[in-house]
Amino acid sequence: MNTLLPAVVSGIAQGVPIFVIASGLTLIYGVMHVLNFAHGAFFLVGAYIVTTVLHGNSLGGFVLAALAAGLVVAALGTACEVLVFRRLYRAGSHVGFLGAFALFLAITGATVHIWGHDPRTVQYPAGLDGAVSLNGPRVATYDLAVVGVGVLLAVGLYVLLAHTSVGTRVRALSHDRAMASALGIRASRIGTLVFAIGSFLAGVAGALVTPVTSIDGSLASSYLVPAFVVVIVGGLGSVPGAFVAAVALGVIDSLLFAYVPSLSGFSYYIVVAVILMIRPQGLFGHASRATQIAR
Amino acid sequence: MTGTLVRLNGVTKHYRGVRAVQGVDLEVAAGERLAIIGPNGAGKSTLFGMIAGEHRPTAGRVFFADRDVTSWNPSRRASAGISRTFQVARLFDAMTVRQNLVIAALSAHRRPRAWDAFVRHRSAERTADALLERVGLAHVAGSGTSTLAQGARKSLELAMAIAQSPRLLLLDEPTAGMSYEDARSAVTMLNQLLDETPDLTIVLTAHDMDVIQRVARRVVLMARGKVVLDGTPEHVAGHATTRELYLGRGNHD
Amino acid sequence: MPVSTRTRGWQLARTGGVHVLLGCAALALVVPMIATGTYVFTWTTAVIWALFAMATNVLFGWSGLLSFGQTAFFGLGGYTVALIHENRGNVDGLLLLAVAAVVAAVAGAAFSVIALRSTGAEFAVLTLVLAQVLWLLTNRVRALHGEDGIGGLYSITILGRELASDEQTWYTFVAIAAVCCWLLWMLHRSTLGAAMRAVRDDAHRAAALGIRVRRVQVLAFAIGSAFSAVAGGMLGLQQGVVSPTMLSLTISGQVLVACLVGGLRVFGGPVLGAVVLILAQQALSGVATDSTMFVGILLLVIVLVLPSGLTSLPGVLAAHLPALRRRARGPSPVTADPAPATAPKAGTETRS
Repeated sequence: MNTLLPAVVSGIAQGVPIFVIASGLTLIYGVMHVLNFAHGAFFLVGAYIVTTVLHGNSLGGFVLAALAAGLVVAALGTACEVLVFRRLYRAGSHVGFLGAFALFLAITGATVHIWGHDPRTVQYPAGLDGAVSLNGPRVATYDLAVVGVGVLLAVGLYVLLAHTSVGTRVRALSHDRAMASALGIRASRIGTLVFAIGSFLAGVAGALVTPVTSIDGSLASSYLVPAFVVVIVGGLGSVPGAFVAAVALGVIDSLLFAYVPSLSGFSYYIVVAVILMIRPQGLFGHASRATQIAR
Repeated sequence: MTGTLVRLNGVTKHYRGVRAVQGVDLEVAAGERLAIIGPNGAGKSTLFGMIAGEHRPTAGRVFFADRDVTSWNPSRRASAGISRTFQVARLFDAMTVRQNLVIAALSAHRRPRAWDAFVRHRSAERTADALLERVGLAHVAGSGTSTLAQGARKSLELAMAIAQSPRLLLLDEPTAGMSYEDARSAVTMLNQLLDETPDLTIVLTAHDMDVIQRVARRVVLMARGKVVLDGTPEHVAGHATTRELYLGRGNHD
Repeated sequence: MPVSTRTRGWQLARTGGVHVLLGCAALALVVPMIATGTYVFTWTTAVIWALFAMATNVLFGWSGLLSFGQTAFFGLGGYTVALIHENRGNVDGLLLLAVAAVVAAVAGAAFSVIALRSTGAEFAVLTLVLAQVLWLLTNRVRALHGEDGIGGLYSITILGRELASDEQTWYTFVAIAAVCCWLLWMLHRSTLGAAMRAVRDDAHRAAALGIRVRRVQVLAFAIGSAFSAVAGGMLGLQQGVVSPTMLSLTISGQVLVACLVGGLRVFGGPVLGAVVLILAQQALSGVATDSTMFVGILLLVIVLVLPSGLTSLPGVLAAHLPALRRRARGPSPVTADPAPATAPKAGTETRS
């Protein structure tokens, strides 16, 4: 029991940054039908920015650094959308994927030039290191903080999507692009906005993981690929699905790490293979209308 | 050898509450030439699609040569000897006319031996060249298909269907979009082909009664998802129901 | 069509793939005359990448399957060779490469059978997952020595002889690559090759013609993976060591760039693309140590400007040139606006 609760909390905490990345990914996919590989690069840039901007370990400083990371990455993401993706929408999905992949490589490569090869680390913000005792089992304080941030962001996204006019337009585009356009909803404007929000989230997610791991180039794909898995398991375009999938997969992975360590890290991939076999549209996704010709 | 080639038993297709085809029973004998007609929305394309394998019936069964092919996808049905054309000619536009025909001719060998795939397709090339002569496209054999006029595209698609050496040829609006001359030569070629291969069974959908009367020996009229009339072209063409459906209160389900 | 291709002799030579072998033989003899020392090493690397790119193009250009995980099979080939050599010593290099090919073919077939049940975005993600999983394995599994990789590959012999010099490595590798390219040429001309092109252009239409779409795609994957693994094994032999860097996404990007630069629809396009890419990297190696950014920018430029690859450049220029000339002369009522090549699908098949 003493290991179960911390493992679960730690799992949820692991799932939060992945949820944050995945929510941006799934929103962008829902509105623009583009799988933005570059998100992994945005995440990495966010983490690196925190390592540069943060001096000392004050909590306030950390929050500011995280916000700075989010804003810079939002600007970067918007630039990518305007300069690159906008030209590729008409060209078919292969070209869109290639462009996103190209951005991923270009930006992660650029981080090596700017920040060098050596891994960087950041201290835990004051007061958030150590552990808290919850009637027995000790849970890492930072994990709890991350869970809190995750809940906050999830609620914020929910409010944004369900209760604002912008959010309604995003959801309309996501469900039926043709109808939404016929109603005058400008896909290109909403698309840029969704890109900006998604990139901001990716930057913040990068900030969130800085005290926990060492930051180097491999971080981009280590978080991006599980985020993609979460997007698929949750259902393409579904933010609640991404939340459920991220938390569930994080907990599964964390439990494996505690009890069957050799399998941890692979759990995401095993799950995605299973889900694609039994429910290809993901947990919350709608079944695709395209007929599968190859059987 | 005569016998039933295609049998539809109680075939039904629902789409989101719309009953496109309702409980259709149909038998097509080998060597028969059948035309399915009906106003728009009558369900003929859907029925056609269920024979071709493009749509799975909501209820009922489809039999081909006494085998239950209801669950077979188009690829499997093509291997069994069903070939089809599309209403708007679908060609491989990134390839030349000749290459299109060669690919169609490849499937003439049902259940090819595995290693056949790795050798060159000489017999398919011969079939393709012969067909090019026959449909009069030999002079554009090396051109991309996107440069062809509409009539030529449909001729090529017809040639591709023939190249598969099918037992059942499904033609979806074979003369749609063609000029009068092109339609006439297409019908002439079709009749020539049918005379040469009496075992070949044809099922076509069409709007042009002239084409139907020149090609088909049996006509089935559909309306609102059901078979309403079934007889010779003269019988159906002259029938009051037909006139009513096409010229009377207009097309509606 | 130039007159020379119409002669009987040339036609027959093309049919048998002899021109592929002759071309490789010519290359094999010419390069050591003009290049010395490290340049022979660079050209050898280019040959390895040419084979890798040809293999990837079986999926991408021939069958229309865009996979971001080709690095997985490249690395699988290298590690298979290294593992067998480490555990059993004295196995001939050619046999090692053959085993690597078979292992990768099986892995590629197995992966594609599962992955091809999804389309579009999910398929792309699965190819990434494959690359990531293999990368994780090389880092985690103790028998694979983690970051240090597996070394000692210089002692592998080919047909009894060690690869003692750069020249020897060059001739051996060109010979191996020539055989592989000849096999790929025969595939290109075969029934299966035609079926792949049909599936790429219109899978639904291909199915209606009786082509088993899934089977063709799985075979494409198996063949592409097999030759990718051979290339990976050759890299291991050349470098003497295999390590997790063979499994980076940069490698996946690089091989896609090679295919795109050379031209997806031309048989020899990927070879050209690989040679250009490797020589360019060598030239820039003084400027940039890590090639990831370079590959990314290059891919970005290609995607935005010239999706059909370098070999389409003459065609694109020819289409745009009249418009450019007219613009230079001043405004005129007639504006020629040829449709720009937007997706890699543009362009007709050049050789059947």
